[in-house]
Amino acid sequence: MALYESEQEQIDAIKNWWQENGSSLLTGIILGLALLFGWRGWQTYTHAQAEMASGLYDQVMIDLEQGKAKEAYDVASKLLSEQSNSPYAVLAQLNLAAQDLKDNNLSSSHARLQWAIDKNTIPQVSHIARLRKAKLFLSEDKVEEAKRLLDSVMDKGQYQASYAQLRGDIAMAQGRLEGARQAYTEASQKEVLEGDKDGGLFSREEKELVQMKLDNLGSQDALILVKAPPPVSVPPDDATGTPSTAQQGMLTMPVAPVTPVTLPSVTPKP
Amino acid sequence: MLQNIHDRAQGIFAWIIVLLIAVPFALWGVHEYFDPVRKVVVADVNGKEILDREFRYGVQQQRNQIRAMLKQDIDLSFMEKEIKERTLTRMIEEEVLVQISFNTGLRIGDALLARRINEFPAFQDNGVFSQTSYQRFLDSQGMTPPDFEMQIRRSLLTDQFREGVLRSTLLTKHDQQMRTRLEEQRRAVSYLLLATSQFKDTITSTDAEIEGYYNNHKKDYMTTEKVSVEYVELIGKDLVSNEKIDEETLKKSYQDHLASFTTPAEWHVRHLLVAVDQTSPADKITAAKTKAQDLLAKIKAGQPFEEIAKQSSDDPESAKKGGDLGWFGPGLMVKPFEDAIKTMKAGELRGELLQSQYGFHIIQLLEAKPEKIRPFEEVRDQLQQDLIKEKAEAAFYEQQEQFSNLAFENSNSLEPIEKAFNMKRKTTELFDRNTVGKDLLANRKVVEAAFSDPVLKEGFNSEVMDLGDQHVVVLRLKDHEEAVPKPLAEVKDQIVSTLTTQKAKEKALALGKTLLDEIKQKGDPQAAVTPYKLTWQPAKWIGRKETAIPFNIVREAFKMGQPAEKNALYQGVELPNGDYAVVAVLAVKEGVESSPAVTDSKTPDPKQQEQMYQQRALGETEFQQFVQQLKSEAEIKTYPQNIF
Repeated sequence: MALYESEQEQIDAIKNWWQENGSSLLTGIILGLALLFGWRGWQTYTHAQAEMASGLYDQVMIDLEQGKAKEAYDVASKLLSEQSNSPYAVLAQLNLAAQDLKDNNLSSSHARLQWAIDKNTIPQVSHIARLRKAKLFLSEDKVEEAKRLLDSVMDKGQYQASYAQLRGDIAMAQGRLEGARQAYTEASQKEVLEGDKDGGLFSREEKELVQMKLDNLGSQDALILVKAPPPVSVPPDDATGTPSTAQQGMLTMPVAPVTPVTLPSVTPKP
Repeated sequence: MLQNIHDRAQGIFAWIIVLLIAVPFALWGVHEYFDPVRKVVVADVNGKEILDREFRYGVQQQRNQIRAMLKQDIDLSFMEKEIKERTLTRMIEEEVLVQISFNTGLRIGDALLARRINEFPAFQDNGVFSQTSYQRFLDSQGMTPPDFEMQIRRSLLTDQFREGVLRSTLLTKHDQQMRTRLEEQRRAVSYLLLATSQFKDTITSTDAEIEGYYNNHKKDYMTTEKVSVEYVELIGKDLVSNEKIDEETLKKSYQDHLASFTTPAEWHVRHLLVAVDQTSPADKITAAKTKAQDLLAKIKAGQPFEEIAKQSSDDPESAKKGGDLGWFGPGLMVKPFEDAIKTMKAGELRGELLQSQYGFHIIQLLEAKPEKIRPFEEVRDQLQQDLIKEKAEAAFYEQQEQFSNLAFENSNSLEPIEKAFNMKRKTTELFDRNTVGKDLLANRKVVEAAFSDPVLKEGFNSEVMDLGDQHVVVLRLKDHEEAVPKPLAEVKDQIVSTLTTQKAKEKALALGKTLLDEIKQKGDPQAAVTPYKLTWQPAKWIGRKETAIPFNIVREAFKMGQPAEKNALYQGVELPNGDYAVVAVLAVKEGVESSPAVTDSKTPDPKQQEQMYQQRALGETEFQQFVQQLKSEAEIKTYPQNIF
């Protein structure tokens, strides 16, 4: 059975079809290819940008670690000017802010943290920047500013423990002991990070510090606490001014070993 | 007609489309049906699955880490659940970190990756990156380079985040001052000690009290539960028979093991080499041969071999020693060389040159130790013993199977084994759960089996236990002495002492409370204690690490808050030994910064170190909260049924 009357008719049919659809088909193909190459080009470009930022950030961290602050600032300024939207810019700013504090340049430190908060590239990191900025204020005796900054945060997420601790510090600085007690109590109720246990929010040392701050204000679970005149007179303190070395570092824990460079977990072949 | 073609054409295009759709199925779909490995998922983090085999590997790593930390190879099965939980948490946290890193645009470029891999000490050889070490490591892990590099990328990504947060922590002056004020705080403390000992003499307990206490606390005065077991055992040594092995078998065994009775020949040789490549042009080879022949002629003429070798040999190592190659055995020299030596006698200088792949050799055999084969008669006894042992072993393994089957199939009796093996059951004395006895009872496996539910409660045979060294045993319960309360008369003294201590504690506590109450009412701590002939300890300034007064008092004193002016704070504290103390905090002094210690550059400044720890503690807290924040935003599903 012949599908087509003749060879000629087959050719005509194809020609006809081409006349009708040819141009749109070509346009479609060209458009598709353009999109494909455009997309790949864009991907290559963003990858290259990200990898460059990664390399710059790595250099900043190495310079800072080796105490080459000036070099670190130079590399970072390139990163900040060329790739200000990169997450690496935020991480670099945080680390430079710490260097600023070391150099006693508080205004620069403030500015960098504010930059990170305003950019908000990684919202989860903005909390960290804000907490640190509040601590800077506190360190400058700008208690009101610190308080205002904390009060402006609505959703504290999983950072409640640190926020609470800082609220306690602020209350202490203002002499509001009851407020401090409440805040420290809230913070101290958060769990310690133990090994890799789920849900821990404090390192052990930090938790102990919070507990010490709370204890200092008086334990709530004391059996019977009585106020009365002293039973004996208070002697002069022979250790005034220079506490003996034996008393140093009540909270000093054994040195947590610096995380060694370990091979990452690797998956065996099935 | 045209319409018809149009329809047909559509049909063809439809086919093409179907084909296009079919191709990916053919390429990627089908293998799923043939893939024998079923995917087991232990967790799902935002749609990314963590698979069982990754997880198991993680668990293994965790175990290795713990063992490395404990520096010993112990059985960690008792903490299996904890290890698995930790591993799962760690893997989920790593996954959320990788995801946030990637989603926010963190990337690890090839250059950075290469640099880090090059820096790994494990991949270095003499301080330089070595491809061989790298490949060897990957092989040992069963990984391909792309797999491994992917893993490194992941860990570098998360490291960038972790380091970025950890190292940027701000430890402000204010933080440090607050800490110093608390840590170095000093408190003026006085206390009254109400010792239980001063009450004990006046305390008596009636028989009724003693009996009442005994009845209520019987479980504290129990005898130890004991069992004895009967057992049968199969020991390989017992199966050694005394029958002689016939001569023919011995001889055959001798032939089979001839190699192990043979000491191969060894030769001590010196040689001189005139090196020439076999592929060299003929004239070069001829020249070399002529040179070698000249040298050989000289030696034959009586010139010392050593000197000529030293001057003219092209084998530099042996040339230094006058051509001496030392002792060597078969297989160490090239074949023509070895063949030539075999035909020579000790001291003989080979009359002609030997050509090998290296060139032309002049050879002298200095000494030779011929091959030695120990004669059959000499090793006959040993062979016999070995064969007897072999036979006994075979017998053991054969009987062990029957032994195990009988023990398992007749789990209510040892008799079938006794009959089948013509042996008598043995019996142990009574022993308790923690016993470390002699012989059989020295083995924990045996003791645990005796107290296991199937043996103790259900009365079955134990499993057949392999005690190693061709020794298996199966046991069943004989006698069971349950734990019962000891008779009152036996424990009366103990109870009296417990009751006395308890009452003395109650008295001390009651007195303490009375005193606190009176101090509160009358406001005169001296008047309150005088009737009891008690005196306040002189006030003392103490720090948190004070050791001169009981630790509980120190600890509580620092938890009592701030005394107001002209008032002290009082509190009762129980001490671990049962004594009671009334503690008074009179004054508090904030800690002050100690003057910076003078240090030389070699020892790190302790204060600086201290700051580093504090900074790290703070950083870890921030980072942990960050991870928890990420987890709270992620959609995480775990499948415990695939883990535990």
